[in-house]
Amino acid sequence: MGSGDFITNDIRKLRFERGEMTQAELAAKTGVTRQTINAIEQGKYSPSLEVAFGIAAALGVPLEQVFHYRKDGA
Amino acid sequence: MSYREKSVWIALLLDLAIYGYYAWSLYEVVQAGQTETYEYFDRLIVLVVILVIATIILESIVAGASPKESTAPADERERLIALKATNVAYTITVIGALTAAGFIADNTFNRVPLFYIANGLFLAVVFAEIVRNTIQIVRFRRGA
Repeated sequence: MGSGDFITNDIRKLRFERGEMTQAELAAKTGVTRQTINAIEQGKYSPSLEVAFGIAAALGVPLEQVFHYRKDGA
Repeated sequence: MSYREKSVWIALLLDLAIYGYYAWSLYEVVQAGQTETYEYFDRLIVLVVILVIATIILESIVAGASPKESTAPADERERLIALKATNVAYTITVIGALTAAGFIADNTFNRVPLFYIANGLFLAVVFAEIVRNTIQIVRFRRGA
């Protein structure tokens, strides 16, 4: 792994379940830019563990509810 | 578009404009056969001063439009994008420096005028900077 191709996430769904939290609001709570949240949400960038845990904390759910690892071909 | 992407755009466009003009003036000097007498260093100093002043003005405008972002440190994705672009630029700079060193060490210094070695080395550095900024913009646009 390395490209992040097999990591998916439910950030968008979780944001909308939390009062339609905007990307900018999540970015502010996580300490990254809105563009970085957008890139993570679209699967274009895999965040570090620190940011991943930060996103989960900001959304109020455990990490495994936000990010999902899928093995190649699985 | 994020503050850092705007900053990179400013750097890229100013590099292309200022150093593009410098490269064009060098081309005219070479065409005219005036490489021995042309005061390229003086011209370069003036252009670098213009570049610095223009950068300060444009950066101030962009920073004023997004004061929070401009004072915040780069996040991990922005740092990664800068790092990857810098790796490529470093390689280009090293190739340029080694090529210039090769000309000097090979004792061809007298056959290849200082005008070409100095400007060749300088333009390699400028080219590396343009590549660095271009890679950053492409990665910012693509998301990572």
